[in-house]
Amino acid sequence: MRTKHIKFKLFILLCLKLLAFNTYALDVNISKEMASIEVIHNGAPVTIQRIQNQSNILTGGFARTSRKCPPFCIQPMQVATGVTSVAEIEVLKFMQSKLNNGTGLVIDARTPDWHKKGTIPGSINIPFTVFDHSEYHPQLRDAMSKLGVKLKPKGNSLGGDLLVNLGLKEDNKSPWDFSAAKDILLWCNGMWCGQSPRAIRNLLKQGYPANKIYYYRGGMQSWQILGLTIVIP
Amino acid sequence: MKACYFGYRILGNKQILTILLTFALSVFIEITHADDYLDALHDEAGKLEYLDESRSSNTISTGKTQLTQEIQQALKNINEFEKYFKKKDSATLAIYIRLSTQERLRIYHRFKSSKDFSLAKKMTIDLYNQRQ
Repeated sequence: MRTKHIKFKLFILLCLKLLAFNTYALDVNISKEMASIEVIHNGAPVTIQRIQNQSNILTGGFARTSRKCPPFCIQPMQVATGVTSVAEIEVLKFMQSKLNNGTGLVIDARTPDWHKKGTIPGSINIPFTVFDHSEYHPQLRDAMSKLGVKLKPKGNSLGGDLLVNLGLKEDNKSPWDFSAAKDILLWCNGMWCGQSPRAIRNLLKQGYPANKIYYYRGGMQSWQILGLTIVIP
Repeated sequence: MKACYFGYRILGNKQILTILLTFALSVFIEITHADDYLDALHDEAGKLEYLDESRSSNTISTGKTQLTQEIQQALKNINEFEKYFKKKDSATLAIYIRLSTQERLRIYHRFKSSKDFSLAKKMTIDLYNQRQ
């Protein structure tokens, strides 16, 4: 009798749990395995999920199909050799792993007037124009330090790196030390936006390792089409 | 005077001048082009409204019965309103929680009088912008 009573209680508990699960489960998930993720944006936690209203449609600037080209031309999928192009799931996984554990950064490479109108949670704004500068420019130095990159110390009076001089090490002409460089994921307004591709090309010119760069080509437009969370910085 | 290379005359003064002018012109065009791009970006950004507002106007069209019940619940007190806020838009809530209690109350009263969540969100963003 007592066992039956306990079994009944367990059954009720199970029903309640299932009920609670159904109440809080989302209808519009990111993927089968992922309903939402948490990131820190400007020191505050933000949940990234999709808009739950299934009749929602895109309006406003990012619903526009056509802009003058040049300058707003369609970008290729492969921005540069060695750079990985990614889509939303990879962006979210990057955030869950590399961004949340501090080994990666998500960079909104747009000019500040775009950024301030809304950005992808977890992103920091480093406008593409910053990467146009030379290593002597304080803006570039500041940006590089955020990416974990420092200027190499000046060579000594004997002519710099001995291993290089002896031909035992490749002569890297870059003035930057990328040994602690973070994995970086850059994005801008979407497939028609040249801001993050330009930032990537300039980073490569500076010597940034291509295998540490990720390019989210879909950018803000794809992010919005999927109804993913946006924050006003 | 002619430019010479191992005794051979290669370029005259006019030709050197033309090359220099062409080079200067190409540099000028490159700089102007770069500025054009930034100008175009600035113009396009100016046409863009705040993204969250465009989204909130869409969110209103949720199933009417459910929305009304939810709003009625949210209108009861500020705690219920904040629960509603969290459910509807966690992104703007991140801004909302940075505001003072006084400002939060103003937003709640605005929501109470208008019964329009998009206005509450707009007010959140406006108050936050005023602080900066």
